[in-house]
Amino acid sequence: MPSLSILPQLIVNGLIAGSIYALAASGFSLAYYVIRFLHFAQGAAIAIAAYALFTLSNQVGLNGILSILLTISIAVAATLLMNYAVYTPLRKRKATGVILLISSLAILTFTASLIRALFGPSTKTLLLSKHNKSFDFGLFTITSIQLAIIISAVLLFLLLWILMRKTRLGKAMRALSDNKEVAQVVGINPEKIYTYTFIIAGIFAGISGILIGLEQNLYPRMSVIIIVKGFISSVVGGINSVPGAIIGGLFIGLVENLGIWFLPSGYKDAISFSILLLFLLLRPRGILGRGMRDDT
Amino acid sequence: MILDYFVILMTSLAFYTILVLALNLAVGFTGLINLGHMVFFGIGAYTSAILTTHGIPWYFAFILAGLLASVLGTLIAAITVRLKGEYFAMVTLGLVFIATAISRNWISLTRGALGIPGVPDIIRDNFYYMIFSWAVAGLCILFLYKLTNSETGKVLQAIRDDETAAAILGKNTYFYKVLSIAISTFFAGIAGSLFAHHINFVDPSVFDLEFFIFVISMLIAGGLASLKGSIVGVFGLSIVSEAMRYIVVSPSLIGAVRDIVYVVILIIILIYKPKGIFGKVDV
Amino acid sequence: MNKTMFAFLTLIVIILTACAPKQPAQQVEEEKELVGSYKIGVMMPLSGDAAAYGLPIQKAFKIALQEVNSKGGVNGRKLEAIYEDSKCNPKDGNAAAQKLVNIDKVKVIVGGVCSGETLGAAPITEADKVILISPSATSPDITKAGDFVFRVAPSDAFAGIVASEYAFKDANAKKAAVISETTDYAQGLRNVFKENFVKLGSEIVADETYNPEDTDFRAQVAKVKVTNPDVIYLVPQAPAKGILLIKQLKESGYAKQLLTAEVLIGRNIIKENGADMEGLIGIEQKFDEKNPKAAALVAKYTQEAKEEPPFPGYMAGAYDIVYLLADAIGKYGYDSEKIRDYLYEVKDYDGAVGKLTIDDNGDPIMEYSILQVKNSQPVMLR
Repeated sequence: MPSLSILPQLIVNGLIAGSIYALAASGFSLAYYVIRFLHFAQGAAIAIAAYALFTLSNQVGLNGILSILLTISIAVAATLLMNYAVYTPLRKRKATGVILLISSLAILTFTASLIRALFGPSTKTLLLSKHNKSFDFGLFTITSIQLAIIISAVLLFLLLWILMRKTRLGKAMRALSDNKEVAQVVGINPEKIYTYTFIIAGIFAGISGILIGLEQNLYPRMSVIIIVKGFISSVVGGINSVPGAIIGGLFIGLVENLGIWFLPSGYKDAISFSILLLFLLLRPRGILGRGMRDDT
Repeated sequence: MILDYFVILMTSLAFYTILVLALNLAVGFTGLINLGHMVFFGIGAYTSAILTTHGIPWYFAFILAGLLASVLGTLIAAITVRLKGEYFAMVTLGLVFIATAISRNWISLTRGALGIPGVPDIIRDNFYYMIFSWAVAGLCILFLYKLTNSETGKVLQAIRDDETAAAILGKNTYFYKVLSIAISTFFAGIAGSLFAHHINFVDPSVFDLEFFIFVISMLIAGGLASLKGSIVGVFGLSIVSEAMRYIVVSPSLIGAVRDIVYVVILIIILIYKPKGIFGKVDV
Repeated sequence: MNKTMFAFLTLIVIILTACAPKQPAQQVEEEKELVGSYKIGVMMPLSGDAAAYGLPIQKAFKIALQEVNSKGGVNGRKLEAIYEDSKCNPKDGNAAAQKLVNIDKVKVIVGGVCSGETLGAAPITEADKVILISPSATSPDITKAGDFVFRVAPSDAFAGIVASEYAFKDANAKKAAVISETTDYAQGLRNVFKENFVKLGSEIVADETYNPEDTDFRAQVAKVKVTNPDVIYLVPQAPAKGILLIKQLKESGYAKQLLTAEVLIGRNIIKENGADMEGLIGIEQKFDEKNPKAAALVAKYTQEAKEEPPFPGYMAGAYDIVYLLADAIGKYGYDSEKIRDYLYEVKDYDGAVGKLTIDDNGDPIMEYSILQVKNSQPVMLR
């Protein structure tokens, strides 16, 4: 029978896991909202960021701040490259969402193989994680990186909310998302907004890559593993609401961790996907979503 | 010996053909983006493996593999086909992860990650097994050819092109969509059974996403809503992936280089030929 | 079916038949002209997560191959390796074996590294009477996989018993917990460990699993920690997840003994993640670095790969396989039935793995060593 004494730790664990999912979900969700396709390659950008930080801080030996800034720029560059090399030609060809989805899965595989060829298949630990400290609060323990992850998730939520609700760019994004043709008529250039979207997604990937890399170490397939949960979080949180992705991440993290309290832990993935199924069937707009577009 | 290679390769092409044609019925002809196709393939493979290793005759297991996949497919479709486009795709993608978790954790049934070894051959001789596999594939081709050219096939395509219009014309679109998935998953299960008896071993890797990406690449390369496209796609991409074995690179880079080359080819096809070779429609 | 479709099918069949035989045909000719070579198929996971063990084992294999060839080969012929990526799964293992057997016409395949790919390949090699000899597949199912299937790594059945005996006798554990990955290798060890530990008269207080895609083990850790076990036996499939698991266990404040299997105590893994792994005890097949063959292998590998051998036991196995095969082919020719008979006769062979004996099932009889990570260094306990 599950013991009640581990409940606080499970809730904290859920928050940590949820914040990680939220980080992965943020850029993914933004890309879906504006461009209407499942940008699984966000996971690739996250992995690229983590490995860039590894190269810069472990191998080149740059100091912390500089390597973090450079890492974020590399993540942005990688995301823009994906857009120009793959997505833009596909959009010009009027490829559908499913083709874009498959091409983004292909980028994901490609990146994992490339990382394996360049860095080898073994796990890497970031030197920066040496500064990590563990705090014991009696009922639960948490580390400084985990605290940073939770705080970042909260900040991202606020940032996304401000971006979508209060800025001109956010308004243009919403207009594009609602109806591309109408948006074009009122003078919004979709490709330009898409570029901005990918830049923001790239910044999110950079931040997520650094934090997730510090927390979970680096290995070539991390890209795939991270983004699957990011995807579930986005849908559950409400794929028509960008800040919803953060809420979705936290929700999934909590339910998974509390679910394992009763179920054998091997079923953790099944728990999150069952929630995904339930949401899609009963409340497809997600927790924060505002109803669906008709043409998707 | 070369002939053996050819025979075994052709056998695997037979179940790939069935698998891709079945996927085409759902995705290409009906417009249902079923990303969980491999779940039904896996159910077929596991059904055959579990039953035949418990002494049940293969023909019984073989039919049951298709039926069980189809029953589950019908049930899932009955709940989910009302979902729109990408939402349906997401649900079916979710099924893959649920199936993986179950196959890994329901140890008393599936032996978990250890897999089920010793799945018996249907026909000992590889050559006759290839003939058998292609006979099944031939029946599948014939059936789908008749179906897609029948009145039902036209309704399916009408639903894909404009569901509202089809509904206004008095067609029960819900019924036809479920029917399409029921048939599609039946053949996926049959393909899974052929696979299990071919490899003689089944483990949770049948549900791997990489495997599905290979299968859906075949479908897209060949073209949606085209039966001959699917067959060409299966043969074309299988040749590419087999040919990759002959790329000479440093042995320590073989894995990474092959993956990269394969993905680049896939992206090039997607960019320059998004409708595939014989494709009639976009997804 | 219309005509175009039929034409396409025919065309592809023609292309297939035209392409396929080319390369082997040339090679057969070369064999007659030149002194020639003996072909050895090699199937290992060269991509994916499992490449973490596939690639180092492949390198050890290559080192032995070069040594044999530079000393004049076998009967004046070269040993030539043909590599295939079997991706650690039965489907690709089957396809790789089928290509090696039917196109390259090898009589011997070294591999696979994982159990799944080995079991997927066995039906193909068995049917054509081709030797399949694995340096590292440990699933208990392989014992019965066929007459021509061998391995030089011991079945999980043995390793799990050694681990449980260590936990019971040396670590004096009354309560043990197991956290294992839901993969063939890990589940094999988990089952044997649990069974034997209970048989010895102690208690398993928690038995948690995780899936290969997981990176967050905190729920498992919390569930295990609350049962306060004296020993936790960790069985990951690959080092990446194992290190994360240890990290999360330590962060939770668990301070008692951790016990693990060989995948997690690779030398480069200890080197790169030593701080996290402090105190960990691992059980691996015996590998004596002072044994001259082993020392030579370690020296060469370290020089070539710029790292210490990550899985010395398995790598030594791959190394020994080359010499065993070279000896067998030298004595009895390139004949799989004779090589099979030779392999069944292997007894107290002085290899890099130590004294190697192969039993009637094609499994090795071997010893284990137990090591602990101290100050980020592996220290042999026995």
